[in-house]
Amino acid sequence: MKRFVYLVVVSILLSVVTLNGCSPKKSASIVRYNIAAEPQYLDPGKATGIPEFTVLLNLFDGLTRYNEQNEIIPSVAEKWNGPNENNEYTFTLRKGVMWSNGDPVTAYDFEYSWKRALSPELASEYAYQLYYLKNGKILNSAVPAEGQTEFKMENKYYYPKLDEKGNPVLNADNSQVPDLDKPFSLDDIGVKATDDNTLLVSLESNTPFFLSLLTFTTYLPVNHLVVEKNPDWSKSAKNFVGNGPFKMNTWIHADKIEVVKNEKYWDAGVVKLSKILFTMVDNQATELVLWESGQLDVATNPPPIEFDRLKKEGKLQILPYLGTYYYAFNTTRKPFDDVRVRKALSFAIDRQSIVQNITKGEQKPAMAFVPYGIPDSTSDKEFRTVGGDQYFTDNNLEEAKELLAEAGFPGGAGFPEMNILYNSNETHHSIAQAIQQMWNEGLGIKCNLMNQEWKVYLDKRSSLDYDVARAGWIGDFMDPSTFLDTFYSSSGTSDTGWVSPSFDALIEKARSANDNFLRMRYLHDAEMLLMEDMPIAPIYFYTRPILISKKLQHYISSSLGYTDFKWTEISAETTP
Amino acid sequence: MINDSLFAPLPKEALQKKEKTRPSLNFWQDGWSRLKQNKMSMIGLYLIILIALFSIIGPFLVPYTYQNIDLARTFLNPSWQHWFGTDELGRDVLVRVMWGGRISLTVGLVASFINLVIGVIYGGISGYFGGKIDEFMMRIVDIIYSIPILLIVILLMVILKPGLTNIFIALGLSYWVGMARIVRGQILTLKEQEFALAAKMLGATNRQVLFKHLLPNTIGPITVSVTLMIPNAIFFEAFLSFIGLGVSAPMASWGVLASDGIRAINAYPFLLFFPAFFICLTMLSFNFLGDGLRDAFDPRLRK
Amino acid sequence: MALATYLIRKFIYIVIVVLTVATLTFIMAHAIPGGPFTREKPLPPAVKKNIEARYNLDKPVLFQYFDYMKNLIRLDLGPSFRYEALTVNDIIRQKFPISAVLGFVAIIIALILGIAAGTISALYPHRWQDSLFMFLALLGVSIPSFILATFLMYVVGFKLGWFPVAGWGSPAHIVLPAFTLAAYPMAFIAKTIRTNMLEVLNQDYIKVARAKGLPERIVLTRHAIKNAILPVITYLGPLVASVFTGSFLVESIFAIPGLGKYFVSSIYDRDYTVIMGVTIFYCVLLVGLNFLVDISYTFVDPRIRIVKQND
Repeated sequence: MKRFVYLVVVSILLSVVTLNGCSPKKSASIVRYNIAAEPQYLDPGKATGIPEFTVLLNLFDGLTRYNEQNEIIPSVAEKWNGPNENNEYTFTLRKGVMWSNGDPVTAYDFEYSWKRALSPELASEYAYQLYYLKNGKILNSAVPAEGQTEFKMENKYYYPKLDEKGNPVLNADNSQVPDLDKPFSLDDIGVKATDDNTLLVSLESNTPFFLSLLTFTTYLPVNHLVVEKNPDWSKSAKNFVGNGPFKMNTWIHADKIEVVKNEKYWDAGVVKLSKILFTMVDNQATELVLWESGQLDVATNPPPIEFDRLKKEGKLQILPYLGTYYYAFNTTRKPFDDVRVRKALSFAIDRQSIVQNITKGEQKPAMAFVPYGIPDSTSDKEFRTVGGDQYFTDNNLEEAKELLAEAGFPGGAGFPEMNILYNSNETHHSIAQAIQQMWNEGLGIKCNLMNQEWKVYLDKRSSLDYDVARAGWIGDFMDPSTFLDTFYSSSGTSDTGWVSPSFDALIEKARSANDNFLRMRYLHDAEMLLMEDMPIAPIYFYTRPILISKKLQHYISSSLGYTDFKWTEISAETTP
Repeated sequence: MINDSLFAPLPKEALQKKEKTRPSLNFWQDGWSRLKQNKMSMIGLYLIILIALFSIIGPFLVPYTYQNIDLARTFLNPSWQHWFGTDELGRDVLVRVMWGGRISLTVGLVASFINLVIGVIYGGISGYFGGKIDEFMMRIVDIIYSIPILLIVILLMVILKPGLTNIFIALGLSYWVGMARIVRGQILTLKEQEFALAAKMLGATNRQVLFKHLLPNTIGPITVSVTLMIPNAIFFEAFLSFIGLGVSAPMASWGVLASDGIRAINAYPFLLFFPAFFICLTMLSFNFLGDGLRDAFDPRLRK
Repeated sequence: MALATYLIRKFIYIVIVVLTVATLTFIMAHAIPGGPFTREKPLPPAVKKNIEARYNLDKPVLFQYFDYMKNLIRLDLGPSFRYEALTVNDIIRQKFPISAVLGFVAIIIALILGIAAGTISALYPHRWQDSLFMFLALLGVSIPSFILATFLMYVVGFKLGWFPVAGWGSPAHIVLPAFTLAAYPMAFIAKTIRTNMLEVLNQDYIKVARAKGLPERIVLTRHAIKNAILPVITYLGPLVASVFTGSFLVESIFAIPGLGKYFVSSIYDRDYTVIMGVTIFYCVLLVGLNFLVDISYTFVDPRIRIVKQND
C-alpha cells in the first residue's frame, strides 16, 4: 500500500516536471500579452471578440492596415481605385505575397473568404459586417441547396420561400424551405477576382469608411486551398495557415497561444519581434501581479481599485477606446414615456463626479452619444467637435427639477418607485449606487438596484422588462453610423422601445447619401434628435486603461480595441 | 468480630445532606447547567451576544448611514472620524459592517437551522431505516449534489425578486446534503450497537430509538458540521448577492464586504480586514459555544 | 452471489441518478433566460437563423433532448457552443487531468495534516497544542478559498517570492493552489477527528486496550483513529469529487487551465453542451465515490452491513 502511494506521487511529480518543458524564457524579442480569455473562434470569417481580433490581426494581413499614426495604409493591396459613382473599388494586390505554408495569396482568396463568411453554411456571427458588399445580405439570408453543409464556391442557393404574408415557410424541423424558382448565384455578390492580383469590389451604397472596415477581421483572407481541404483548419495550431507578420506555433486551449515571426511575410523585414505569447489569465488581480512581477508585458484589464496607485507610480496608460456608457430608459413604461422625465433624470446625473471618483480612467463625461475620435466628412475634423460635445449641461439640477415638476412630479412627489437594471460588475455596481443617490437627493426619486447575471440582464433589456437600464455600446468601425444605427428602429438594437420616424428617415438619408458632407450632416441631425428625445442618458465615453511594459515601442493599439505588433520593438537598455 | 461498637448512627446533618443530591433534571436542564460551567463556551455565547448587539444597536450610535455616498471622501484610512475607514464610494465602513452583521448573522443562523432540521432528520431517517429507503434517499442527495447550484440560482433569480428569502430558499434546497450524509453514516454504525438493540428490545418505537438514543450520540459530528459550515453560508450569500439574488445594494453583508475588500488587498487592506475580522470572530465564538454544547449534551462524554 | 446482485443493483441506481441529473440539468439550462448566442449587440435575423440551424437550436427542445441523450449513450458529449475548437470530450480529456493532479495533492495534504492535527489535539485536549491547531482550523474554515488564494498569491507569491504567482507547469506551481484547496478540508478533518477521537478515547474498548498494556501507538492507529475516521470518510466522497474536478475561483486566481472554470463559465455562457457534460462527469464521479464510501464503511466498521445476508 505504501509503495503504491509512493509510486503515484512520483509519477505525478514526473508528469508535472515533463509538462514544464515549455515554460517561457525571458528573451529580448518576445512580447507576453494577456488576452484574458480563450478565443471563441480563430477563423477570421467567424471571429468576434477583442481577444480574437488581437490574435488574428497578428496572424493575418488584410487589404489595408492601420499604421502607428492611425492612418490606413495599403497592405496586401498595393493600391486601389475608387470608389466610382457605382460605389465600386478596384484593388491591385501586391505580387509575391505568400501564406505561411508557401501558397500564394491571390485575389481569389479574398473573393472566396468574403463569400464564405457570408454563406449561411458557415453561420458566422459577424457575417453582417459584410452586408456592405452588394447582395451580401441576400446571400446570408439565402437557403442552401439540400445537403449543403460546407461552403464551396460551386454551391447553390435559393431565396427563402415566403407565404402570402411574407413570412418564411418552414419545414417540420423549423428549417427554411427554399424557393426553387428563385435561385441565387454567388456571382451576384459584390466581390470578384478578375485575375490573381485584381479584386473588384462593389458596395450596396456609399460607404466612406470602407477602407477602415477592410482592417476588420471579417475582411481578412483565408487560404482557400487549406480551408477546402480541411474545414477544421483553424481549430488547432497544427493546421493553421495565415498570411500575417506572425504565424501560429502553439495553441494550448484555455492556457496560451504562441505565435512566432513569419519569415514568409511580404513585409517580414520590418517585423522585429521573434515571438508573441498570448496568455489567457482572466483574473484581474492575478494579471496585475503577473505584470508587476515582470511576467507579462501587457496587462489589458487592470482592476480599477488600483488605478490611483498605478497612476501615482506612473504605470497606468490610458488609450482611446470607441465606446459610450449610457443609461437606457424604457420609453414604453410610465413615467419614462415622458421626455421631460427622461431629461430630468439625465440632467440630474453628475457625470464629472462619476468619471473622476469612480471610473478613474480619464473617461470623458458624455453629453452626446457618439464618442470622440471619429473623423467627420473630412479627416482633419472630428465628428464630436463639429457637432459640439454638449447637447445639454452636466449635473444641471435646476433644470432637472423644473422638468420633473412640469411632468407632474414636483420634488419627486408621486413618482413611482423604480428599478435600475445592470449586470453584475463592480464598476456598474458603483455607478448605479452613485446615480441612485443623485436621483434620490437631487430629485426625491426613490429607486432600487436590480443587479442581474449577464444574460438574464440582456434578456430583461431586450424584452423591455425594466425601468432604467445600464448599457454600453462599443464601435465596430470608425464612423458615427456604428453608434447611431443602434437606434434605427428596425435594427433591433435600441432596447428602449423608442421609435422615431424622423430619426429613421435621417439614418436612411445618410445611408443613401453620395456626398460625404451631406451624409455627416444627416448623422449630426440624427444625433441631435436622439439627444432631444433622450431615450438614453449618456454617462461617459470609454477609455482603455492598460499596463504596458516600458520596454515596448511602436505598440499600435486601435481605438477599436485591438493591438498590432507588426512594428513593435523592444528597447534593449531596459531589458534585464 | 462484628458488633455494635463498629457502627454509629449517622448524624442528622448527613442524613439531610443525602436527600439534597442532584435534583432530577431533564436532558435540557442538565445540559444547560453543564454549559454554564464551561468557561470557553460562555465566552463564546457572550461574544455572540455582543456581536449581535453591535449589529442591531450599533447603527443608531454612529452618525453615518450605510448608504450615504460621499465621493469626495473615498478610501479614507481608519481614523477617529471613521473608525474603520471609508470605502470606494466614501461610505463609512464601520456602519456598513454593523449592518452587514445583521444579514450575515441571520444567514448563519438560518443556515444552521436548516442544517439541523433538514439535514439531521433526513440523514437520521435514511441511516436508521437503511435498505431501500436509504438507497432512495441517498440517491436524491447525490442528485442534489450534482446539479449545478448556479443554474438553480439563476432560475430563482428569474422567478423571485432579490432579497434574503431567496437566499434561504437556495440554502434550503442544497445546503443540508453534507450534513445528511454525515449523520446517516454515523447512524449506520450506531444502530448496530448494543444500546440501540436494547432500546428496541425494551419496546421503544422507531421514533424513540432514532431521536432519543441514536441522534444524541451523533452530536459530536453534528456540532462540528454545523459550526464549520456557517462561513460557507455567509460566503454563499455574498456570491448570490454578487450575481443579483441576494440583498440588493447599497446594503451589504460581511461576505459581500469581504469579497469587495479582497480586490483592494493591495491598495486598501482595511476594507478586507474589518469584515474578515468579524467573520472570524463570529466563527470563533460559535465554535467555542459549539464545543461547549457538545460537551454538555453528548451522552458519550458524560461521566 | 449476494455481492453480484448488490453490484448490479447499485449500477442500475447509478444509471438512474445520472439520467435524472442529465434530464434536470437539461431542463434548467434551457429554462434560464438567454442562449449561447445572446449578445449585447443582438444578431441580425439571418445570422441568428444560420447559427441556430447549424447548432440545431432551431429544433424543438424535445428533439434536442433526445438527440443529446442518444449521443450521451455513445459517450459523445457534443461540441462546445462557446469554443468552436473544442468538443466537450476534449475539454474533459484535456482539463480534468490538470485539476485532478492539483486536487490529489490538495487532498493528500488535507488528510495528512488534518488527521495529524486532529489526533494531536485529541491527545492533548485543552493544552496549547490543541488550542493552536483548533485556532488554525477555525481560520481555515472562516477564510474562504478566494480570499485565501488572493492572499497567498499576493503575499507568498508576489511579495515574498517563495512560489510562482500563478500559472501551471512545475511542481512549484502546485504549492499555493494546493494549500488553498486543502485549507477547508484540512480544518474540517482536523476538527472532526479531534471530536470523534475524544469520544472514542473515552470508550470502554480503548480503556481495555490500554489496560491490556498495548503500546499507545497501537491503541491509536489500530483502534482509535480507525473508529474516529468514519465521518471523515463520509466527507471524503463528495470532497474528492469536487476537489478533483477543480475549483472555479482557485483556478481563476492562480491561472490554472483546469476543468473547474467550466462548471461556472459554461453556465454564464449558456454553453448547453458543456454545462451538461461537466455536470454529468461530476455526477458519475460523485456517485461512484459515494458508492466506494459505502463499501468502505463495512471495512472500517464491520458492524455496518450494507449487503443484507438474506438478499
